[in-house]
Amino acid sequence: MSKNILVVDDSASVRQVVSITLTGAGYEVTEACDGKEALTKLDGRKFHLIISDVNMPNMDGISLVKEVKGLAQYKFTPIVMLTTEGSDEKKKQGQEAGAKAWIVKPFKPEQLLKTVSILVP
Amino acid sequence: MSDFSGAMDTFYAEANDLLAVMEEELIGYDNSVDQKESLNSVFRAAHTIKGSSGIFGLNHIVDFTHVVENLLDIARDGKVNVEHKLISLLLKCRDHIEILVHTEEADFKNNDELIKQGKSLHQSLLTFIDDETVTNDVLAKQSESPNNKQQVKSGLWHISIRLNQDCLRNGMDPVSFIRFLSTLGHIHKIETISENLPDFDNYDPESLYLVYQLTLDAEVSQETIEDAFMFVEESSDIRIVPPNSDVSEYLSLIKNSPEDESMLGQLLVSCGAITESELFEALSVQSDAIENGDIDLKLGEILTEKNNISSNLVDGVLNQQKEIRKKSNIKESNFIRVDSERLDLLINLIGELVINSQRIDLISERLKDASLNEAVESLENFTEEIRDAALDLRMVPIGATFQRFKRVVRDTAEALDKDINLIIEGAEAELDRLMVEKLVDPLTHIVRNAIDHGIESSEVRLEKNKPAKGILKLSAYHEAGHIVIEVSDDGKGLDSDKLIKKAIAKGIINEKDSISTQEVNQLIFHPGFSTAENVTDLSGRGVGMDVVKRNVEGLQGSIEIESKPNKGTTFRIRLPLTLAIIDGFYVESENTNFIIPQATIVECMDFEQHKSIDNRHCINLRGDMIPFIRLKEIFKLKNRVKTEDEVLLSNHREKLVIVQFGDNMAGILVDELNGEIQTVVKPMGQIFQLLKGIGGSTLLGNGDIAFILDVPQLIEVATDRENKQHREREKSSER
Amino acid sequence: MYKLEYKKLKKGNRIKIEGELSIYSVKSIYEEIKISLSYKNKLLLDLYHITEMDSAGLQLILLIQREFKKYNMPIEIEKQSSAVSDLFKLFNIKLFKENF
Repeated sequence: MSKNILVVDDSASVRQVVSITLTGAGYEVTEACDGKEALTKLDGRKFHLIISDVNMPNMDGISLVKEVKGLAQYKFTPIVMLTTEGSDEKKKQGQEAGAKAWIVKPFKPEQLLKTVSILVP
Repeated sequence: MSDFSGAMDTFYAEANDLLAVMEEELIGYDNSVDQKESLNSVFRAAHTIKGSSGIFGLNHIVDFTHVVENLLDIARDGKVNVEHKLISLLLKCRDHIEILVHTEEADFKNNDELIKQGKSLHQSLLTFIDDETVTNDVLAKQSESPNNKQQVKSGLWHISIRLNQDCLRNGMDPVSFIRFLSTLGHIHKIETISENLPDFDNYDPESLYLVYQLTLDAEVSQETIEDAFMFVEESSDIRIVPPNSDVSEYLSLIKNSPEDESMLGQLLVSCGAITESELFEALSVQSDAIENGDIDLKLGEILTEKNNISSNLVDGVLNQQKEIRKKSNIKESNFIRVDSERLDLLINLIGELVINSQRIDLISERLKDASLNEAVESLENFTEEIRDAALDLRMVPIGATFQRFKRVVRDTAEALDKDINLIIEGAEAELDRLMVEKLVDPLTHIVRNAIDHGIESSEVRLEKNKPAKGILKLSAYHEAGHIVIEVSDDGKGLDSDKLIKKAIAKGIINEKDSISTQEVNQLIFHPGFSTAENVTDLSGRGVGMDVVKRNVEGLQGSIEIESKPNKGTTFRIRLPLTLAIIDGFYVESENTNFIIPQATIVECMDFEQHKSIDNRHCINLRGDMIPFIRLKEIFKLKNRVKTEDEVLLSNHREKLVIVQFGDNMAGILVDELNGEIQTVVKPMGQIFQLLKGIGGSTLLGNGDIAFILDVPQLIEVATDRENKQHREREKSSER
Repeated sequence: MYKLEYKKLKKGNRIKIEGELSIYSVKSIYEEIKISLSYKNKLLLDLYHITEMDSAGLQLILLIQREFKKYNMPIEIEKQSSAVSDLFKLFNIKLFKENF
């Protein structure tokens, strides 16, 4: 059974890279461009992992994490934040909200794959 | 690995969009209502460009943008004074990023000038920072943390995993970690220790109590193994002992296991890491050496080193985010990116569909089958809807194009030392994307011209009792199937006397010619006409206005000028919304098919000779003098021998179609009115482009070709001829 | 998400768990078992219909096993699905019978 992953980032190219990398490794990837869209995608199918950017319009990553952690069917789902070096405060906020994993942008596809395979092998 | 070439295209498109955002926000910064938010947008754009460049390994972009991003970051924290000069510099940095985005990294490395330019921009950015520590922050590169754990070792690794109780609730499952470890090599032995499980009644099913001890047979670096645990909470306790470590390290591992010491001991003994006697010694003797042998590896500690942030900074960030959310609600919710070529292909195919549906319509009319007719009619309706929907896809608001002019205005005004306020109206008016692209050049020229020749310098304006700051207005609105774009200034206006003198000097008009104000103004569209005494390098040597006119006409549009001395000048461009498909009116003249664009038609009527005035090409329509043309005269269509039917109808009256474009009206005389029709415009070949009055051709449902009339040109022809005849008549009457 | 069945049989009490035995369901499963669990009879576990199991689920099975061991009452896994045996194998969990 392949694992479903939701990728949330306002940058289409980042989404595309993530999607290509993970799909190539056998994951099922769904994309969303901001927190709001991500929340609408959560219904209907079960995601095993959520990867989310921090800085996004409409609903940013931190708010998304808070929302997701409040949903009964997702409160235990691992969330990976896409952060940037130097944004430690954001990372802390994300962790407090419940996103315990992160990938520092810019990342290489291999790094992404490794992180994901640690969390949802 | 995977093929990222498609993603690269997305990257370029995205980078261009973000660069446009940067430009827009920077240029608008001075007048921005919410400067903090503007700065935030610029930061976010730089941030994303850097982020995605890094993913694609485009280090030349990352390196440069990194410093810009950091400066923006501290600027939005208020640590840098954002003055006009900094905004100008940031604009230059933005331009530099644009160049970098379009430069291959390999080419960049050989381009000393570009490298030098980047360095000097970085230096200039640093001059805006007073604080040296901040300077270092800005320059800080993401340095790879030095690591001595990268050495690959082969053999049995011992790993002790004691996770934070909350880890399951955070989505961290040891199952995942151990599965991951098993991909690194072979799990030689694993013990799941359930000793810490509480009584059934005190059990929290969502907490983790299990502890794992395992030996992994693998050829890896310590770092790779550590990576498996990079996200575990700080209170977790992960210990890793590399293969062939000193016995004291294994013993320390045992000593630090609060659970079943003997179990781990047995595990280590069983795989030969330590001997029985060593184990015995470790368990019985409290050795100082062991206590001090510090091999502890608490990953959690690494994770939270830098968490000392003041709370008001956090609040600030939160507020900023609220604003971001508020502002960008409209912007980017549900867009998908489509290759414009694919869109064009779709529209062409729909064009063919329209033609074919008309052909079916003709056939079904012939067959006179009621149910077939009905079906065809509904097919036609749907085809029409599909056509409209498809065309709509290519419609873009003109706003984005107008935004570009903020930069043009800013740069031009700065170069000419003029103070100008740009006002944009009707940014939401939409038109075909293809038109937008072709519109940029002519608009740029008009805008520059207005700033250069129209708007006076502040001193002159003050002398004239005008506000020191000049106004340039770009506006757009829809009017009868057209979009009208106006560029107006509140400058000195066109000087008719000067224009006339110049035109005479250049031999464009005769001294004796009496021409209307409208005609005088139109003179500046004459090739090689320039009025400025000092030709500046910005608006060029009078090359331009004639080119502007040609460009606009190439888009089936027209351009006119309205000017009042000392009040200002307005350039008004009228364009069709699209060039692809038009609703037309199908007419015939001498058995040649013509299409008149529906949007230009005012009314149709029987032509009554007696209504024409004094045998001139002019009729009186409810008091208005309207010039007219006969298609067969204009296009020199031959009179053929009339067939019997036609003889019967020879007293048949010609039909007059009244068309309007802008404020001008004209009549077109034709033989037959055949009704409304949808037409797919095929551009005319090179030869026919010289033919005035024809804008393109189309295929009719029956396979015949029809010519699409270029109404603005025809009106011009009609008006010119009437004016000329009028002048000749006046001359002859003078004699 | 899950279904729990508790049956008193001649040869012992049987708990049948169907569906997900994971962090998402483990709390309610635990609460249900807590009410009905009796250490006076042998316990039979039917884990054949478990589709998904994680550490939280595994831990609950280990807890039940430990409790029965404490009361010296036998516990037996009758059947298990591959989702269950995969995890047992990964963590080197011996089948319960061997512990008695």
